[in-house]
Amino acid sequence: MNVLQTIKGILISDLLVDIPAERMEPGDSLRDAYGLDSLGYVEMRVCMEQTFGITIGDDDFSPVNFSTLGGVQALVERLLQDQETVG
Amino acid sequence: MLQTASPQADRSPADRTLGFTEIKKWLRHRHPMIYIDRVTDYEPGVSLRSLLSVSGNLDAIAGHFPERAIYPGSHLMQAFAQSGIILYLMSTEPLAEDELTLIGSVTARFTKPVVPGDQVVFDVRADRLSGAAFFFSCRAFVGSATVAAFKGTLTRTKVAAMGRQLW
Repeated sequence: MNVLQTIKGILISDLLVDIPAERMEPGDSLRDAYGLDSLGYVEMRVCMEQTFGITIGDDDFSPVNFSTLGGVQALVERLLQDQETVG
Repeated sequence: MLQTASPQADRSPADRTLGFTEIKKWLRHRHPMIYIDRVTDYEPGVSLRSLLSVSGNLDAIAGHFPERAIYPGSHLMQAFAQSGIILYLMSTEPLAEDELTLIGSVTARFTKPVVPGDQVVFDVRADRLSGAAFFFSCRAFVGSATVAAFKGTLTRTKVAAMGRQLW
């Protein structure tokens, strides 16, 4: 699974971000570039959990991980890696 | 955390219902924007069941459509949202004077037309509470037939936090 492409797809189809996937960059701010508000961040958290089958704890639901597209990507990839290690 | 009520067995059916006037204590909406007629059961943090009765006398039916009376799906969605707001507030705390609720998103699927004479029952579930964000879902029935299904999110905010608005 291509994590970055999947996240872009969620941003477009579930969170209705009006930017083509090919123009999304890892450094994009979720708030400034995509218009997410506080509720949008929580919706994105739940979408990530449901789509990737991961659990994002409160400690990981942080500005460090959820400020940019690349931050979310890194978080998802780490949690998927943790799952494989544990599994 | 969601606040859960005392076990259902401890409460009589009368304790788990809200009439139309009581509903207005939980909603800021007023006529003609209140879409549910009654709450027939609820358990804070878990679920709520509400209903609306569709009459051919409704203004909406007069125009939707003159040739064929169908209750608007958008009105069903509003009834879902209002049911969710009540469940959310019951599961947390009532709105303060300087607060309001905001719907973030609604996903809807309509499976059968609703027409005058139908009584629509909304089975609403509290799926998750994350901070101030509330995730809720619902299946709406007329009799045993599913007429719609919904998923939605809402939150509460201080009016002042929204900045200057042109209302």
